Amino acid sequence: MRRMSRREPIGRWIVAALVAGVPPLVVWSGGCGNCSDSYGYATCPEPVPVSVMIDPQPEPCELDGSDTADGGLPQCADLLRVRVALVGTWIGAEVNPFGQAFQVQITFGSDGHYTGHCAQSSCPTSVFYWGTDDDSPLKTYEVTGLNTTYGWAVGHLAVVVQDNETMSTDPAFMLPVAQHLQFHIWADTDMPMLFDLTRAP
Amino acid sequence: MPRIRTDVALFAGLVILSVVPLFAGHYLPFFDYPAHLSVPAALRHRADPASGIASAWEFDFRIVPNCLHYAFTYLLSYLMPLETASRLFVALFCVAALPVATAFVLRVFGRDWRLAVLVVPLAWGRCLWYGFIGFCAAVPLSLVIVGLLMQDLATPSRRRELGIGLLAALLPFAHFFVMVVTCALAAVLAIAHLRRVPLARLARTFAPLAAGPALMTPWFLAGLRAGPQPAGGAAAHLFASRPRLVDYAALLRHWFINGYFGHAEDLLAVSMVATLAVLLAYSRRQPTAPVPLAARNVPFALAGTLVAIYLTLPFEIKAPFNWWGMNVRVIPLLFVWLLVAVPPGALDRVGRALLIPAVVATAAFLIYVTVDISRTFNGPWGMAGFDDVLAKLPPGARLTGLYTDYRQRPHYAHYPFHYATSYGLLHGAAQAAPFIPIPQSWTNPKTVPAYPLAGDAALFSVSQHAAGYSHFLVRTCAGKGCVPDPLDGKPEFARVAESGRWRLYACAGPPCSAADIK
Repeated sequence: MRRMSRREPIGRWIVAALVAGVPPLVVWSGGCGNCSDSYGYATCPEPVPVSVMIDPQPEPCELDGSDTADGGLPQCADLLRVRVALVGTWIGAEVNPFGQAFQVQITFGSDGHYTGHCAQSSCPTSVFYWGTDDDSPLKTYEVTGLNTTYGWAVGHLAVVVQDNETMSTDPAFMLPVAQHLQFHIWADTDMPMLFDLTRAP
Repeated sequence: MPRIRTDVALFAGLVILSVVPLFAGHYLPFFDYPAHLSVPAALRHRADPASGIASAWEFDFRIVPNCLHYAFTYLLSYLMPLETASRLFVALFCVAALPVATAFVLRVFGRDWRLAVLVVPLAWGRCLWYGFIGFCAAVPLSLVIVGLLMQDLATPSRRRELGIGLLAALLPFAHFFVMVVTCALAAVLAIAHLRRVPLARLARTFAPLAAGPALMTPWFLAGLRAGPQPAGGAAAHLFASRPRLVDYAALLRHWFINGYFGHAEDLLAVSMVATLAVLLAYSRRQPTAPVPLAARNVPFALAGTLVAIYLTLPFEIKAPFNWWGMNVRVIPLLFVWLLVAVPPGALDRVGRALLIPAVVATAAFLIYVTVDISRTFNGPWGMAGFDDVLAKLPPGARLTGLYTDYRQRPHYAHYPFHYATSYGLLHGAAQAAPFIPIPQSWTNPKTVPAYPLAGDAALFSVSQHAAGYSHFLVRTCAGKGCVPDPLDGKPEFARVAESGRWRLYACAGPPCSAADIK
């Protein structure tokens, strides 16, 4: 009993120290950022890739919109198919808060690289606002997860800001993608950009 | 006239202050809340042929979890307006009940009940702002059940065991996951008493707890079989979908006290955590009767169990159940059980003084929330004019919402208008979108026609998102980050009402079908 009573205050002090350590731990982990996404639900941590979690559908389904129901949400969402469907060249409008929308052409390669170019005589900014539209091996993208509730895929897209310096963005790709692709980046900032594209012939 | 103790009056005053914001305006800025109201609204209006609910919604009355709020609101809606009934549920069972239940367990475990003032702001935690009404009501229930189990271990009573059984049966109807967590806590409590209490008495105390799981077994087993089957089995999925360890820390702030965008509430949250840490270490107490060893140590074991659950479970699973925000639900319970782990006995003068900063911060926070809900959310920025617009909605309307302000700097740490159209169902509409079918609900719409993601006006396409709807509710927007009203000036849509930041359009022609035009 005496040994227990000695241990108790020590244990209590340890627990108190652990509790006191929570706020610094949260700051260190990046939990002090405002992680509300533009549609209202918190997205941190990022959704876990669904493809590693759910068995493949017994019958493959086409991401052409025909398999959607209930508000257009994909019924056979599969990350791999989204990745495949994304690959190709897309042309359409970039809508931003700075001024007129302009036409862009974006190519997502199967090797995880992308290119983006102005698709009209001249554009007010580069395709992703920052840096140049010159092709670069640093221009990479990846699709990491699906949010089947909202019907979007999420991932990362590295924007080349200046020489050899990139800035990671977290685009959200609307589903389904076949001939029509919409995605936005920086949606939770004051400079959201929406890309409304169709597959190039 | 009996003299009311100052500490009792102060505690009661804080509890009353904590429910005042709920009555500060007609509408509440909780994310899912209007969608939850759609269930009792559909139940009420299904007998009204003009609403079209009977044909547009499916009804499946069976024993399912998380339906207590719906049942309470539906039944009381015969005595008072449906929204008032729901608000009463939130005030009594989600907000006021938490500090009262905490005071109860503090007393049961021999701690100073006045520590419960620290829990008052926790009732306004992230889960309430998201509108997780059933969950918020389940947390106080869980505390009372564990408190009653502890009491029964010391002094067994048939009446108390009956009460445990009734509350245990009620708990999954408030929230299934909290029932599972409560069973885990009860198991730890039983293990802690294995050496001191005869097995027969343990069985007598804990047996009534089986009422909840027994009631839920058919639903749970059916759900296990019916849902998507994860690779490697359901148990493996729990581990495969866990986030990185650092993300578990990152989640803590948002899921503790974080209703507003920005860092204003962090001061309150830090004051609560700091006060808790100091109180855990500060052991001077007024002389009182000795507290049994189990009551001294069990709260640590319960808090440790909750930490283990938090770190073991993932944030989200997609199969076989689609459960979002899973492990973070234990955060409010963890705070309470850490509070119960402070040294037993009545606080001395210094101990009571330690509570003052948190009490002041709590009162200031609750006054701010009251003013915010009254002036901001129900004011010109928010829902002002919404009633006038809804009044123009005909019965049986199929309503979809288009929001033009998703790209503005948020005021809350969530978008509070996402389900605003669900209020249309309370006014006799047949359909409201955006709408995600509610799992484990007695009723859901049979189909929801296509709508842009989250009702984002920037993604609206007439060809894709107009068919199937008769009316369109647009939230207008001024300033940086706004997108234009996508229906403005389009001949297919006739504006029938505008008030505040809300516009109502009726479909006037194709692509709406004749059936859509009311």
